[in-house]
Amino acid sequence: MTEALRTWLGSVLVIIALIVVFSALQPRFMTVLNWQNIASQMSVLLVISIAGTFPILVGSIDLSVGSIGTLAGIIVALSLQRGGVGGTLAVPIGLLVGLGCGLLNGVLFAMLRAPSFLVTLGTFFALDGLASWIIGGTPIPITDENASGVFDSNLGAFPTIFLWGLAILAVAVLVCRYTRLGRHMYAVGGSEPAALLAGVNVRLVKVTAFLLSGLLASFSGFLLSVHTLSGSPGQNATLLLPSIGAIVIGGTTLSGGVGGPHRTFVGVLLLTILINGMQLLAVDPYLQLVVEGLVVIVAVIMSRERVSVFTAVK
Amino acid sequence: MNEVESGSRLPALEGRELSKRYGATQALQDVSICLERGQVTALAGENGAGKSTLIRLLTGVERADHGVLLRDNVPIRLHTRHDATAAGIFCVYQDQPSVSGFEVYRQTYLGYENHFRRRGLISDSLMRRACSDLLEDLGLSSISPTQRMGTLSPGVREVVALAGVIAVSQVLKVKHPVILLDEPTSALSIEELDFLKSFIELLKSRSAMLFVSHRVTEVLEWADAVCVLRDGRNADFMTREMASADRDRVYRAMGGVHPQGRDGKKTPVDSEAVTAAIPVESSASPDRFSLAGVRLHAHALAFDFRVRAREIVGLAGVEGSGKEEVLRFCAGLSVDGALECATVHIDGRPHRRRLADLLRAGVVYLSGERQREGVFGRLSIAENMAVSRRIASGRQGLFIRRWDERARAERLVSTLSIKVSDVSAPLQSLSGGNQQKVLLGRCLELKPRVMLLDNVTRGVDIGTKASIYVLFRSLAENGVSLILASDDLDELVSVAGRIIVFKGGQLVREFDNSNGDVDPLQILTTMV
Repeated sequence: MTEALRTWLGSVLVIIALIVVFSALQPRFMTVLNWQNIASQMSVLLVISIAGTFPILVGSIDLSVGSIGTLAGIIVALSLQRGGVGGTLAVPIGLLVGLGCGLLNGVLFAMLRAPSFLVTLGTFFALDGLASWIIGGTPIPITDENASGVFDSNLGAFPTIFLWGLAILAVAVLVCRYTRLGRHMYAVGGSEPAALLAGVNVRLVKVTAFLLSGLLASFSGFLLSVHTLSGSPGQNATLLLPSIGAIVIGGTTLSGGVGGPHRTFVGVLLLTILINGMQLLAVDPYLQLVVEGLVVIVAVIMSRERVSVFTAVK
Repeated sequence: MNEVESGSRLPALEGRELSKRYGATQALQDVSICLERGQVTALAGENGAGKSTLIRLLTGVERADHGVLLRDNVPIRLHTRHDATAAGIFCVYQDQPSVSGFEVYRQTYLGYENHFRRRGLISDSLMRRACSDLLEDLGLSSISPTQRMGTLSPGVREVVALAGVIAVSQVLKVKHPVILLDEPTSALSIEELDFLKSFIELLKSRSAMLFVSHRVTEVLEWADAVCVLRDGRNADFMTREMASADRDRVYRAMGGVHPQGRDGKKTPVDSEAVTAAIPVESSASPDRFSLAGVRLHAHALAFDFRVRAREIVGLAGVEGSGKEEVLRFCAGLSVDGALECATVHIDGRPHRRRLADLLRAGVVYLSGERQREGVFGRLSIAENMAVSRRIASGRQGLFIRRWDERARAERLVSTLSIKVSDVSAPLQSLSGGNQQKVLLGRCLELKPRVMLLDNVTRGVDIGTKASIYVLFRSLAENGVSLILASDDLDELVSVAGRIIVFKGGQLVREFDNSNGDVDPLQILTTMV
């Protein structure tokens, strides 16, 4: 059994344990209403974490997913507010913004060979600033009800926002497992020189990973705007670190080449159940952060993703 | 100096019957070596003879399975590099790492700053003065203690590193340090060599030195004694007089034919599986692959490189000879310092010398660094084989057919007789030899016309080697051109129809082996 798989199995066991413990301590946990709540709570995090999974798979990282989400969410809110053509085109416009940002990251990273951590740290600040500047720092309310009807209502027992999240997950898993692009992402993340010599277009694969990341990040921003009925400054930024946490908990290693969206789903589920349960048990919000942090650390230890100081020395 | 010349033996560092095993490979077997004070001992041997392993044991980087180390006749145990330093054993590597922004004095006392304190604080001026005294003492007043390491030439850097050894042994109050020089000369120009040589002469009286080198001429010029390793064992030991009287003795020891058995048979790799070498086609047949005017570095002579269809060409040369670089160059990779030559002709048609273009034209390169540049350890065997598929036709398609991939992989696994139960197992679960076969499978999926193979059989067991040679022959018969770079001369003479020897980035000699009658010793003498 590989280490990453062990982390993944470990997370599943932890989820079961959490469910058992929370159900025992709090009767309101195991209710349909609460699970609908969990499903709806996890959706935005799920989409943004899947977005971040692609660059991590190729051995890079995208720190700007939150900012891209914020920018897209705000632009969507503006379009919906305008109504008319802008209103109907809100979703495509938002996604185009995301693609554009992803392209910017990808080009800066792959073509100029700058480290992705630094490039996306830059776009993280720049795009967040741009988003706030566009609306002058005041949230834009969304009054259009069509959007919430499609993206944030209930379909039977299921919140539609969760179904959208699942749809994105399904497509992402398909891309990773059954397309050549997906295969090449694992190859590049696994060993870049080997991928190059095997004839993989390494740069193209990297740029595409960032394109996907930007696209899905903007969709997560759109979902959040529709859910909160506003486009607000910094709305998605707070999701960046939980999303990286969820990716790692799921078992996608930061060194690349291992894991994928299906694992990220498990990580997101674990984090969301943990937060939901602690909220129901009225755990102090500050203490909740401490627990979340500890969970991430435990996940890292379990995935054995540690760098020996001595590997660098001859 | 006098005590040395009196002829009494002063063993500074002695290794007795050292053995070291890595997995299935016995890297060293009962190797003994004695370094005497006031002497320079050369350590010679081919690649893989065990030189680096011995150095690692002597410097505490690794521990021997058996055997003892004696420092000044006292048994010592080295657990880490620090233990070795504390015992006054130092190693200077061929490209000794240094902090390029540091001044000479800071680099020299790096890690020993605590010995230069004034009122509890580290004093740069004390260090600078100590360094300048030392440089003067060693006759190196031309080097200023405040020069930055990055501004020095490789030769000067090497001398500074050596001076640093003396500096540190002074700080540690070691009277007679043992200095191991790992290929000190491979990157130096002729003037730098002279400088280094005279400096080593100077240091001789204060230390015991060992230097590793491939170049036999140098070994004879610099060393007082020569210790030759072959296949992890002591092959021969001789004094400078003995070696210069009979130069061939060194070659013979390196080549594995012991002086006593002068006409000892060379051991074929596997006489049953590998019969006669592939016959070379008549020179009238057109070139499959050709490159004109290749120059690996600015001072090297240009050479042309042509390979015919169905031909197996072997590239020989010691480390740093450029044979691996030639392969990389042919594959369309950029080689440091090589002068660009943009066009490659394949079957008479010009192609840009670019990896992607050449891959599409059927030129496949398999790197010698299997783990770094070949294997996707965590991807499955089937995925590893499929990754390059259909690149030649450019019709890779959007989707993967996993069942198809699996079926193809299973077929390749049986063709190449890879020992594996399930092609969906991760590649890292296989042994080195089987991993290599999987990579060969990946090359075959590209429908290759030219295969550039760097030490394919390195670290591969005998049985697998034999089956790889059989594969080579059948590929050649099917019209593929193979170019093999190898450190294993026995392999080259038994597989290749033509052997090209490289030295210092230049083509020095070509052997026609179409009758399979070239002696590895002949090749070896042109290599070193």
